[in-house]
Amino acid sequence: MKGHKELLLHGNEACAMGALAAGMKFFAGYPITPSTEIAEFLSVELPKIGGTFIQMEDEISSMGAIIGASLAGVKSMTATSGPGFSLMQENLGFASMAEIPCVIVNVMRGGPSTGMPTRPSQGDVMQSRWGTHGAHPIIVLSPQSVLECYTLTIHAFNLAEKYRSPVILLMDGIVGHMWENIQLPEKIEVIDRPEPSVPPDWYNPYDNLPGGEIVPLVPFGEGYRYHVTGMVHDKSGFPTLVHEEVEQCLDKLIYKIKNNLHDIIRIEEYMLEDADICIVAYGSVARSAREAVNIARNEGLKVGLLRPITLWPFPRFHLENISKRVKLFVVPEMNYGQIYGEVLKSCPKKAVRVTRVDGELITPAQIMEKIEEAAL
Amino acid sequence: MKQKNDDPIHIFSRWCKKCGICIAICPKNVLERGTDGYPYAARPDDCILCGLCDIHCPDYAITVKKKKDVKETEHEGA
Amino acid sequence: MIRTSETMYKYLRPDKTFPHVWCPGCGIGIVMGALVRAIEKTGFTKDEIVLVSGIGCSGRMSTYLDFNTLHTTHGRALSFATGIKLANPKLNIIVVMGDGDATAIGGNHLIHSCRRNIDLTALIVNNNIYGMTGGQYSPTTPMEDKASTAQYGSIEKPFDICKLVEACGASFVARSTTYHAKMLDALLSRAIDKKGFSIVEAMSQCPVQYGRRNKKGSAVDMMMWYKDNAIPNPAFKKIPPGEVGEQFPVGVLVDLDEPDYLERYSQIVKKAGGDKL
Repeated sequence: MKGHKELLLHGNEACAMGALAAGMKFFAGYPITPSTEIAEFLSVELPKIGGTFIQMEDEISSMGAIIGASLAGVKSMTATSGPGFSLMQENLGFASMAEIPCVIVNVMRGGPSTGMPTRPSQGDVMQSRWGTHGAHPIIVLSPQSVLECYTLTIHAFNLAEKYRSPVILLMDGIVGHMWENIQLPEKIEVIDRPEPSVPPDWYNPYDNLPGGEIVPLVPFGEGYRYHVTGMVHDKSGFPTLVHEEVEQCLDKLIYKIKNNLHDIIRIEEYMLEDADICIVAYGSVARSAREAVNIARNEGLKVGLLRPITLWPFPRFHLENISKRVKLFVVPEMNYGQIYGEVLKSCPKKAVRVTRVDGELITPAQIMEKIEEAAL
Repeated sequence: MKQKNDDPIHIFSRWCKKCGICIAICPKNVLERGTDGYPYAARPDDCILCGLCDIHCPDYAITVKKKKDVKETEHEGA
Repeated sequence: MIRTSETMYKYLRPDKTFPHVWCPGCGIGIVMGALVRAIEKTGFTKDEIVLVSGIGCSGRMSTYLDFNTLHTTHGRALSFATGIKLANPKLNIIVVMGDGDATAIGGNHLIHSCRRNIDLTALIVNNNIYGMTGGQYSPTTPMEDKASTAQYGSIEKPFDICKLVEACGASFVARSTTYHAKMLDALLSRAIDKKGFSIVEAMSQCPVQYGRRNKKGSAVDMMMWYKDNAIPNPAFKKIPPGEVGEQFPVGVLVDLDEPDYLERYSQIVKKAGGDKL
């Protein structure tokens, strides 16, 4: 994998290459369309660098295995699609609760249930946020291009290590299977797991440090013997039901993300400065949206695009700011309006949706129709 | 029940849940249930220090002296 | 013989609340004692051991013992353990599960761990019931026995865990009971030392949830039942099939020498050229 060479890749391949560039050495997964190419690629590449590829018996155990590998100090990842993502929710909650860094790729396909295995969708936006039970933090990123499949996978690993949290890369079937000529960036920041700053006797893996500093997760076997559980725990990691400790444990989970929104949230704005209408779109749909902006501008309509790269935590403040300037939000999605609901929360009465769930792309023309309707 | 210091068996009643396994498992019938429900060494002289009560106690509440420990004590005392 | 009392304090976490959570007469404490004696025998340091447990009564073991400990989700302990082992093969991993944990919700992970022959030691504490949730029938509850969800008696055929894992390709399969605690620690230390997937089934009494409902008497009575019915494997094999009643074999049931998963994976690394790094 040379630095600046131009490569013809599809999104799934770029994602797998990004993971390798981030230092991922452990992949566990289960075959499922349209994500399987990630597993296939890594089954070839990981042994070459002494890493581990394992095909597990299901997605439940794939998720379990990557948590285990991460606890042993190795950057780990799994990749799946809708039905498999449903199975992963149980252990995804464990990773959130026990604060285990790991990356989960979900190449979204049409649902519910078996749905449309070979057709794209954006139906898992809410599941990626609320799929596992209980209040939990999560970071979800959404790439729109093959290059972003590469860069955002690396970013996902960085955020996972930095915030000791599972990070979901929410691709859609189009982005995953799309081929593009890309130039890999020569240099890209990779964050590795920090060393503990205290000796074993002083180590509390779930300590509440001043300023919200996050305690490094020490790999098993290095002399720091501690307990990891999915139960509500105290700062040392042992189960607790003392109400102050329960509150502290759960608050910390939420606030480690909430207090760092400025660092976690990434958005892209296109022609928004003077826009009257703002399209909010992500993933492959953002590409159609961008084209719709170009068409609209040609017609003299002041239309711009806000593309949340970070879907969760949702860039609510950005939206609120933009809502002061624009008259209308148009939210095209390959679902019945999942992010649309979030837009409504930030600026009620000012948003319309463009939905499509038949497994076909949302076209620029479809978005334009809505814009022209609104502009009248 | 009061325990004597030189008993080969020590019962830590704070951890004992009075299940009676130690009493049943003893091949020499050394232990008995006291009026408070806790086991005690009723016939300590019969103890052969086999340790079966020790490894079968689910609550780690019994300690049995090792054979060599007892011999050494006797030697010192003599 | 290693005494529990002299070793236990070395391995118990001193800041945990004792007496432990298990009911009076519960066999899990005896099994945990045997596990500690077995680890003491193998000579591994605390840092070299990872204890992974599932959910349920036996799952609490990971809280009490001073190793690298991981209390996973229900049934998934083996999958977490697989990840740890492959990411750091130097660690010795012991996975403690209950009968429901290992063979119902975790049944799929169990059979595939056997098939892969991954170098883990699984300790299945079989008390024939779901204890923690209040006595529901499990895959090892005998036919016609009662449980809180089988008030008219169970109509499902129980698993023979050892036969199940043998058929799935485990390298080492052994069984003991809480009555045979000394045998249990000997089997466990062999299992820990064994390369490949090894399983020890510990038959353990649950006098409160299982015994009481099925008129099995006290914890002592249930242990005496083990004493009467557990037959060393060589002797068990000589019993004509028609004459086996409630008896079951104990001791080493399977001991194979086969390459484990990591050994096979190192061949993959070689083929891929990764060994030249």
